[in-house]
Amino acid sequence: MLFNSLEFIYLFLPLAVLLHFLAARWSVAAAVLTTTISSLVFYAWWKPPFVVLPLISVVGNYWLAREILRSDRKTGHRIMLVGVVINLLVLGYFKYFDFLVSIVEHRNPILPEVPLALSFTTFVQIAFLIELERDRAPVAFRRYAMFVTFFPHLIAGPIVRWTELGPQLADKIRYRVNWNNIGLGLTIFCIGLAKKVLLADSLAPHVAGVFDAASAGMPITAAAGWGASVAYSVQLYFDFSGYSDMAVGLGLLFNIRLPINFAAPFRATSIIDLWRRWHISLSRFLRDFVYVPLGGSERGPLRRSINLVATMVLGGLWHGANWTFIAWGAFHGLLLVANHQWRQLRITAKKGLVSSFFGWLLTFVAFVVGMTMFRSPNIQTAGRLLEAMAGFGDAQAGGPLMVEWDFWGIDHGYVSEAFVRTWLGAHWSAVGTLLTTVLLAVALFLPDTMELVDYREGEPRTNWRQQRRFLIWHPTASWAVAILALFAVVFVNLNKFTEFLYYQF
Amino acid sequence: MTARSFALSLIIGAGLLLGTTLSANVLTDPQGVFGINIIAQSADPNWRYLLFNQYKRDASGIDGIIFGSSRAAYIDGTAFGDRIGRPQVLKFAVPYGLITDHLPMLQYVLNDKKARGEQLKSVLLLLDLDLFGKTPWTNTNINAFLPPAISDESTVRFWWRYLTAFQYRKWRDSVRRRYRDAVLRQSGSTEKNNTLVRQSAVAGFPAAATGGAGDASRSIQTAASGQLADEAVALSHRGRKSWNAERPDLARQISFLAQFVEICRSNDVALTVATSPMSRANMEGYPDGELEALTERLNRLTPIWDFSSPKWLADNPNYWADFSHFSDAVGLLMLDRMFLGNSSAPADFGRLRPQLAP
Repeated sequence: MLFNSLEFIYLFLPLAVLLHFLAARWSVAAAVLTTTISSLVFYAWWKPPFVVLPLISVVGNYWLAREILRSDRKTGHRIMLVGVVINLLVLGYFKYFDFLVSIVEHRNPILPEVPLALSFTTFVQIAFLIELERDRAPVAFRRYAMFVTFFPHLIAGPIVRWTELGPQLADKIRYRVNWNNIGLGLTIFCIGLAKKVLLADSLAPHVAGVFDAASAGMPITAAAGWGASVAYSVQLYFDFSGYSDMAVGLGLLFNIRLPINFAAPFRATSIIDLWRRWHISLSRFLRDFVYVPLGGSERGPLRRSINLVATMVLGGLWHGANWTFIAWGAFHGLLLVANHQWRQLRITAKKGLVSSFFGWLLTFVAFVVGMTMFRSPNIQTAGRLLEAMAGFGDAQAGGPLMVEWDFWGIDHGYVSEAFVRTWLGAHWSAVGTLLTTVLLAVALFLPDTMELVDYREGEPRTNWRQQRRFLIWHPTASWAVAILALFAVVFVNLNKFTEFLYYQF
Repeated sequence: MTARSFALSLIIGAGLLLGTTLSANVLTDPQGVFGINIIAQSADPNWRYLLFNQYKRDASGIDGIIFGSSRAAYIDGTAFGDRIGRPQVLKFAVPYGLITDHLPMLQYVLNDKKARGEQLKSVLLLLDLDLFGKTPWTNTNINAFLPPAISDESTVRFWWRYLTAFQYRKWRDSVRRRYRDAVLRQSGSTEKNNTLVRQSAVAGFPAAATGGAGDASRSIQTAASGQLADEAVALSHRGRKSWNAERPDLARQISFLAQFVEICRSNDVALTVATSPMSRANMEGYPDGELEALTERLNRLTPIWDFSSPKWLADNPNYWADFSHFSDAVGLLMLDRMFLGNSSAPADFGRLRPQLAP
C-alpha cells in the first residue's frame, strides 16, 4: 500500500489510528499489538506471502537480543556479530547474490525481486543489536516488534534507532489521543503528499525521456544531459523528502516522533554539509556503524580517506546491486576526501557571500553529476550521459522531436524549433527546463517542511534553519484552510499512483 | 482555534471532499459502471465493462464474437453473422482495444460457455497494426478497466476506483450530454443508434461519425477531403515516425496472441484473424517496412487476412470515417472478402496470408 493512495489515506490510516487508540483504552500492550498487526497488514498488501520474512526476521533478531542479554560481555559481543552477519547474509542473498554471480559469469545482472523494505529493516535491526550489546537494557518483544514494523517508517525509513523509539514506545502518556500531534501530523503529512504528487511526479516523465534515450544509445545534447540530471536530483529530493515528511506526520498521529531525514540539502555549501542534510538517518547509520568502527579519522588523513571511500561505496551498494551505485558511492567518497583536504588547506573558516556561492555551486554540480550515475540503469548509460554533459554530446540533427511538451510553445512562437533541436535535442524540452528551474527554486528558497512547522526531532548537527517572519505554521483557521486547499489539489491528482523512488532500495 | 478543532477541520474537510467525489461519481456515472442514469449520461463509458455485461445478459444466444478496437465498430455484426451462418454475434469493439483486452474476455467466454454446456463457434479478431505492441489502456485508463470477473482484480478495488476517481470534466460532460439529449428530444430530432455499437473515440483522434451499423453512405461522407491531409501533417509533425515504431509491449502481446490462437484451436472455435486497413495519413506515420515486418511476425502465429490498404483506398477520404477509422462500407468489403470470396471489392483489397513457419 502506498502512502499516496486513496485506500491508504481514507481506509487504512483512519482505521489503524482508531484501532490503536481504542486498544490503548484497554491497555498499552493491546495498542502495541494492534498497531503491529496493522503494520503487518500494511506490508502484506504488497505481496502477502512476503510478510513471513519480516516476521521471521523480527523473531530471530529478538531471540538474538535475549541471548546477548543473557550472556557475558564477551559472548554477547560474539552473538551480536553473528546477528549482524546473519542479517547481512539475508540482505545479500536477496539483493546481491545474482550480482555477484554475474561478475563471475561475465554477464549482466538480472534485477532481483527484493522483498519490500528489506534494506531498511536490516539496517534498523543491525543498529538495534549493536546498541543493545552496548547498553544491555532489557527489551520487551511486543515493543520491539512494533519498533521494527511500525508502518510509517517500515518501507523507506527514516532508519530509526531503538534508543530513539524504544523510550517513546514505553511512555504510557503517548497512548492517549493528542490533538496537537494529530493537527501537526496531518499538516506534515499533507505537505509531504503534495511534494510527492504535485512536484516530484511532475518531473518524472521529463527525466525518463532523456535517461531512456541515453540507455537506448540515442544522441543526447549537453543541455539535455544536465537538464535531466538536475531534474532527477530535484525529483528525487521531493519524492524522498516528501515520503520522509509523510512518515514523520504519520508517526505523530500515534504520538511517535520520528527523526528528520532531510534538512534543505540543496542549500548545502559543501559535500560534508550536504551529507548532514540528505538522507540524514542513513548518513548517521553509516557514520556510526561503518565509518567509526573502521577507525574514522583517528588514524591519520590517509586512513580517514580510505575509510570515507569505503563507507560511501558501501552506502552506494546498499541502494542496489549495480555498478552505478558503487560508482556513485565511490564518487561521493572521493568528494568527501577532497572536501576534508580542502578544509585542512583553508586558512580561515570564515565564509563570505562569494565563497558560499561558489561552495554551493560546486556542491550542487557535484551532487547532480552523482545523480546521473545514480539514476542510470547501467554504467554505459551513465558514461554516455556524462560524456554529453562534458560537451561531447550531439543534437539529433534533422531527427524527430520525441517529446511533445514544446510543440505548443513552438506553434505559438515562444520558442523556435531550431533552438529546441540544436540545444535541447529530441528528448529534452524547454518546458522541462522551466519546470526544473521553478522546482529547484522552490527547494532552495521556500522553507522546508520541518522549518515551516518547527519540528526538531533528530535535528542534524548543522545550523540549517533560516530566520523567517513569514510562513510560520500554527494551528489556526487560515492554516487549516491552506492545508485543506493543498490536500484538495493533491486529491484531484491522486487518480494515478506512482511508487516512491526509494521503495526500490 | 484549538488544536482539536484544527485537526477535526482537516479530517472533516478531507471527508467532505471524498463524500462529494463519491456522490458525483454515482450520480453522473461517467463510465456507466453504476448503471444510474438519473441526472447525467455517461460521457466516458467503460465499454469493456458494458460489453462484458451485454455478453452476460445475452450469453446463451451468442455463438460468435468480433474482437477489435473501436475500428471493429465499423464491421457490421449482423452482416458478419449472416456470412458465417450464426445469427447471434457479440461485437467486443472497445476503444484502443488490444489483445490484452481480448484474451481475458475470450477465456471468460469459453469457460462460461463450457459451464453452460454450449459452444462458441466463431471468432473474428481484428488487429490494428499501428497499435499492436503499444502500451495498452487495459486496466490503466479509468475507462478501460476490465470487470473483476475477467481481470482477477478484487471487486472492492474495482468499485473503490470508480467511486473515488476525481474526474470533474467527465462529471460536467456527462451532465451536459444529458441536457443536450433532452434538448434534442424536445426539438424532435434523435441521434441514430446511440447505443453500445458505435464508440470510436481514440485518444488524440477526432471522434468518428455516429451513423448506424450498416449505414455506409453516411459514414463515407464524414471525412472532409482536406481533413486527412491535415491529420497526415499533424502526425508527421516534426517527424514522429520513430516514436510510432516504439512498441514497448510487443513481446507480451505476441505471446497473448499465441495464447489466443491456441485457445481457439483447442476449443474448436473457428478463428479468423484480420488486420485493419489504415488511411494514408496513418500509414505515413510509420517507418518504411515496419508495418509489413510486424505483419510477418504475427503471421508466424496464425493465418492472417491482410487488409493493408491499396492506394485507391488509403488515399480516398470517402472510405474513412476519420483519420483512424475506416468506414462501414469498407467493413462490409472486408466481410465479403473474408467470408464470401467473390466480393465486389477490387482484387487487390485483402489477401489471406497462410501461416508462416515459426
